[in-house]
Amino acid sequence: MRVAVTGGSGQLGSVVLRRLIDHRKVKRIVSLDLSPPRLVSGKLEARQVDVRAPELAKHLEGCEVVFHLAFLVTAKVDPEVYYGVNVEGTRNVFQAAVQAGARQVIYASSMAAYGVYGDHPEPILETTPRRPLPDFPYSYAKYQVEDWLDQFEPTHPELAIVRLRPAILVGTRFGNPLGQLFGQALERGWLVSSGDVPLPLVWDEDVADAAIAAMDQGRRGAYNLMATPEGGPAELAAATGLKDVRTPKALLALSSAAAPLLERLGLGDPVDPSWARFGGVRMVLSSEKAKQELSWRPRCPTNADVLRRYRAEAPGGGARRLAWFFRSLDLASRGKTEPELSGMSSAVHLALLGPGGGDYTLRVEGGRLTTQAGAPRPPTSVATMKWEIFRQLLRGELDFATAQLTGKLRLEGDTSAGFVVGALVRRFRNQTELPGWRGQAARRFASWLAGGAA
Amino acid sequence: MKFSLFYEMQLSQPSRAKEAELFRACVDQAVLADHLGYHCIWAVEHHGLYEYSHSSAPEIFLSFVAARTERIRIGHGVTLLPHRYNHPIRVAERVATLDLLSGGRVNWGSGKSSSRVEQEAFQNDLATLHDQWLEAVEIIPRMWSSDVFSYSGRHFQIPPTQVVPKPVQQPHPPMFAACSKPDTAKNVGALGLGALNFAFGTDDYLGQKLEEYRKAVANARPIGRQVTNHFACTPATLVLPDDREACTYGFRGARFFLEALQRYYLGGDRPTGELKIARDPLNTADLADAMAMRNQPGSQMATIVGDPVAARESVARFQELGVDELILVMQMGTVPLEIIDRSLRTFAEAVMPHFA
Repeated sequence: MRVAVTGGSGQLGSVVLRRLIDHRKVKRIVSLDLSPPRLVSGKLEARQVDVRAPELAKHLEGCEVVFHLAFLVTAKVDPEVYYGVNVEGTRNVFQAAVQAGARQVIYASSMAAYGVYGDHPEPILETTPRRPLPDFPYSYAKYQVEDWLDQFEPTHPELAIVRLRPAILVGTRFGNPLGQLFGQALERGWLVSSGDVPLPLVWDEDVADAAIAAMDQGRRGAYNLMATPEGGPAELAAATGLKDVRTPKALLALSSAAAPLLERLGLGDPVDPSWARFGGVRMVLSSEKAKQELSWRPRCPTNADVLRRYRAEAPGGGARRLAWFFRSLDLASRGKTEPELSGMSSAVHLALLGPGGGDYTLRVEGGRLTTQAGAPRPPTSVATMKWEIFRQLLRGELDFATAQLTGKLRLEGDTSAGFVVGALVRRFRNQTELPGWRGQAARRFASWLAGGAA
Repeated sequence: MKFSLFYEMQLSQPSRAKEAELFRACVDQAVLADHLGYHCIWAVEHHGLYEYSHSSAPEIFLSFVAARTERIRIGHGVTLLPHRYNHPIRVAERVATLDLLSGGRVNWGSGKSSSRVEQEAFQNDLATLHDQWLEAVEIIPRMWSSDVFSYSGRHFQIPPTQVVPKPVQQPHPPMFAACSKPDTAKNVGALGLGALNFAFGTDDYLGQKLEEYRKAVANARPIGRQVTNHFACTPATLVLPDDREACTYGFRGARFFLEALQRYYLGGDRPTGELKIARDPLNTADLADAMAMRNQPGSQMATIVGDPVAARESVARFQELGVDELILVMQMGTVPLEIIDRSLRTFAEAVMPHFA
């Protein structure tokens, strides 16, 4: 089966792509995005295409299912661009899908499509009336799309339309500045919220699961997706060991005034003040329909589970020890060519998850290995493991083979990730086994490296 | 799909007695495999890779196998072709002789090896390794088909010479090449050679590699006199009626295999003596994880370990991708000989018939 994904390089797009890559029935994936994908696969064909492109149908040719996930989240762009991409772009995707003969479009709508109002019934069901909220561009765009779909859907009965309405997406890697802000605060141990209402969250891979289930079962219709809230922010912070930080709503709303303060708090620059204004509105969705019809079994059933998972998996930025390790590695291999690496041309993404981890690029070219912080796009192969596992490998507490056989280490793409990361660990271990001062220095470095996450 | 056996002649913590026992037992296993309907016995060539591979003279082992078997094919997987290991004339002569004596049962694979232990022991010129291989692969089939052979190339200057004997198979034994780095499969496909894929990968990656290989073979300019369109994989295998017992031995064996391989190929040095690697069984938690990981989406297609049900699931993954042959690596350094025997029988009885 051939499928297409718009926004395949984004946050939700990346986790959906991963599911599609692992899906045995899916033989070809066309990913349409303006930036290159984060994943690598022989099935994956990345095309640099805008959802507004008039020739979009050409790219969807032969695709049975289209996942439409491309959307601008924060309105820090020209309103015309925001409307053009989100509303007109979405119409273009649906029309192109019909033209290309697709049988299903799975569209990532949002809880915001209901309108961010505090007087909705509780819980909100898929049948709860949606209300426009022109003051909040994101919500309004999601509303406008669904409003248009209400007209479009009955005239195209041959197309199965799925509208996923997830709560706020939290995942290992945030794809938008707003999420990154929230994530950075979490890494500091702060749960930032702007009111005394339950945080409407959902783990992004759980949303991907729902999208895949909708494809496998050929569904149509709307599905709310939200992790069950465990009380308000105070209870949630207590349950997850975080500090409950309330941002004064009024201050946030005046974004220009709030910017320097937030920057001083280490929260980066605030984005799109409309988000802050509507942050404190109480909205609780019922995900019963997804659980019944899609057999949706979220791995993070409650919002406390979502936060715990984030803290366990998100690669905490700025890992000093790790940065040192790679810098020293880079210096040591500078100018050296290795016969074992000759004939290889690879960009390996070493993804070290969890506190203390980070994304690194190990590049092999002309028999040389160079390292740099950040993930390559696109990679030729990806090695993913928790930073804790990498630490155990470097310390010799775990062997590479066992890490691989047990799935503690996950390798994707061509074989260069196993080769390069394996060589890195093996050579480091060899150093620590040397007699004399060189071995001692390496052993000391290994114990320092493994000493802490920060 | 065809099922074959792979012999590295691995030994964890060898002794002279264990070495002698191993070589004789492997010949007996080949005889058993012949009766059980396995397709081919493949033997590697390595030099000085203590514990990892004691198969330095595969032509001798394979001659013993050929003498004691009737039907099973005899595979060099692979002969090392840089000429300091084996001069191409010697390879042509030996393979032809084995083909004669075995009644045309030889599969001939070639490679160049990439361990520092071997390269430096034989003082190979690393820069020309690939060219040496390529030139030898080109001239060996010509030695088999020409009455009087002569050649003038970059590495070999051979005046008119009668290379004898000639092989039985026409135009010559099927030719294969080792593939371990990315891209090698499509490169050997372009030469019309069968691919012995020694690397692992996810279903997704292996599928891509196979697709590239098939495309390359379809447009091949064959380096021999015929095209061999054949893709084989080498999973670490252990199959017993009891799932947990199979996994205990199988994952321990796979661990030893992978760790020893990495030690020689990725260490950047030339280790001697007993390898400092993990060789114990996996601990209880790791064993449970490894068992649960089998055949999960995104897992490496590196092992066929477990009871026949689990094994059939793993084999089906390879079949779905269109792999032509599985060369099962059952002979792993830590696996006792009688366990390999049982695994050979269990696989032949409870897995093979499902993929006939």
